[in-house]
Amino acid sequence: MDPTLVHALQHTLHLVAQTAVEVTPAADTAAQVPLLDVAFYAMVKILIGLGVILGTVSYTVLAERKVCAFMQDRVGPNRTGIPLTNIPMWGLGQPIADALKGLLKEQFTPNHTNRFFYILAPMLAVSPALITVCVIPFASLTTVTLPFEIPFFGNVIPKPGVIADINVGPVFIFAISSLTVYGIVLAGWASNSKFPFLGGIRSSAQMISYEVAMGLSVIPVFMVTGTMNLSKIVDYQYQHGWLALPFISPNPLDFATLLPALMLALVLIPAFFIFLVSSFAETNRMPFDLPESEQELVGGYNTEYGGMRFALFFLGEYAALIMSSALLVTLFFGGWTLPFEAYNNLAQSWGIFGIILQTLVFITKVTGFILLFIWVRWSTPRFRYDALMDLGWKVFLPTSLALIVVCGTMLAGIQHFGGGLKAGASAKEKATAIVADVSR
Amino acid sequence: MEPILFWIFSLGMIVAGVSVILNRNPVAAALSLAVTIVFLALMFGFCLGAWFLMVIQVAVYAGAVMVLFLFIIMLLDVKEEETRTRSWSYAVMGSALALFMMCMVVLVLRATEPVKAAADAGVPVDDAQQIGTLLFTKYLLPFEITSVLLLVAAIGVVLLSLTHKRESSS
Repeated sequence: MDPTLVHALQHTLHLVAQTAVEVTPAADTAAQVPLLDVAFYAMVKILIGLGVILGTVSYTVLAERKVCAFMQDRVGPNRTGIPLTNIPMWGLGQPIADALKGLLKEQFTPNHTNRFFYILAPMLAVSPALITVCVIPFASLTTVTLPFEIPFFGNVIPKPGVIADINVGPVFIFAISSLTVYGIVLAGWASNSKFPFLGGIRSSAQMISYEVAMGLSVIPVFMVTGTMNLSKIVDYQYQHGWLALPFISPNPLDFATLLPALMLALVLIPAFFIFLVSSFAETNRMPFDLPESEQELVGGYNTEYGGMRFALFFLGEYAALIMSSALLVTLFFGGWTLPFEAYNNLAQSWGIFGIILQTLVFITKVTGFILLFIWVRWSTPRFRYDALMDLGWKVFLPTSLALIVVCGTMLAGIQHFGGGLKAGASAKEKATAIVADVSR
Repeated sequence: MEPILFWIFSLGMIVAGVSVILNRNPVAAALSLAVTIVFLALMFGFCLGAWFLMVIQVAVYAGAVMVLFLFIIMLLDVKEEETRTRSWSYAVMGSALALFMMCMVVLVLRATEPVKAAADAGVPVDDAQQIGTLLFTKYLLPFEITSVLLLVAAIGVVLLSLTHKRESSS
């Protein structure tokens, strides 16, 4: 081997090692925080996350009924207000009443069911969506210090904006949410009755088909940002503009920086649409709600369920809807960031209040997508089953594969003509280092 | 922490694996297999630090392959399987096969560098990139051959279903 080449490779390896140390300062600060504190704050974040998700689920149901009523020129639920009083409050007490009703109803198990799986199915349907909350970044990862003391624990919170900062965020979400189908399939099978069974069969075929298109459609995002860590994807979007709307960026809009971003948007916007439509199919919502179509299957897989078990299916479905919205925002619409430098550094200047403000911005963006999901549900007719399969396998799959090829070509072109996309360049360097490491 | 997790996961895997064999209900057996796969994936992640491998294992095997298995089992009539008696010949054959497989695994493990040691020796954390690089350099030919194999299977399915249709229409 040419000695200068060997020297260059060694130099690259050294550089990569250095950058690896530099880009993980959070790991260093986290090492200083005692493990007990890390665990305590992780627990607090999990509890807050679960509370927010479950609260959002119940109010999403109310929003769905209200928006549907508005679109159909009705009034919607408007009677239930503050508990134990007669104050109606525009029906804002409805979710509380619904939850109480679900909890207090008799847990009736029909005799013809397979009891163990019948009880297991609702649990399996609700847990995946709640697990995926842990990798979504909802605020900045800058370590913040609380302005007050907490007994027994320190007041330094490492990585306040995410519960688990793992390097495979989106793939983790796909993996866990692909387990949702077990709940639905088992509910259909264990009910031992025709309509739930048909619903379960439809659902398993539909969810597997659209998972493929969904997984392939985010690969351009990984290629452009050069990472699979959701927080780093958000950082990239803050620096280079949102992936679906590249002109939303804190940088001044000049032609040289905007051109590569606009070119990549030609790939990323179709990828976004494929991802969006696949999310509709994955969450079993209109226009793809064949597993539970009321008119033909009574209620699909949940026909034989009642009480809180039925409510758990609902909970899982709406939690999945919220998580899809959160993922869409994080991958394509800048996550918790806004294109202002002062806002992005709020964690440094305002501490925990900055984190709260960033979380509120994130929740606002997610709410926008939830409203889109509701809007689509009440304005589109249902797909025919063969049309659904055609769309997934014959349109989305080839298109997303083609998008990957086009995206790679564009990235190579941009690198060659010096568009200066930093992430792509460093990925190439790292790959070179790994090849050197392997051949050694 | 790692040894504790290893024992929890391996115990879970063994229990689920035994229940795959002992369950008479095919759906329950398939589900136990899915649980085994999930525990194996957890072991990849928590004991080896191979997070990408963990999520891919869950997404592909537990999330897609086993769901298709369930799909097929549910479409077939499962009542018959539950009443079938066990035969000793199958048990002996199965045990012999399992023993053979175990010897193979031990031989392979003794011949190669332990993965855990390699992981501790400062291999980068970003295993997605590593797997990708290895697939496109060192193992490119086996990778491409596997993809051709899958293509053959897909074409075979299309061919079989098409001839079936032609026969039934004529």
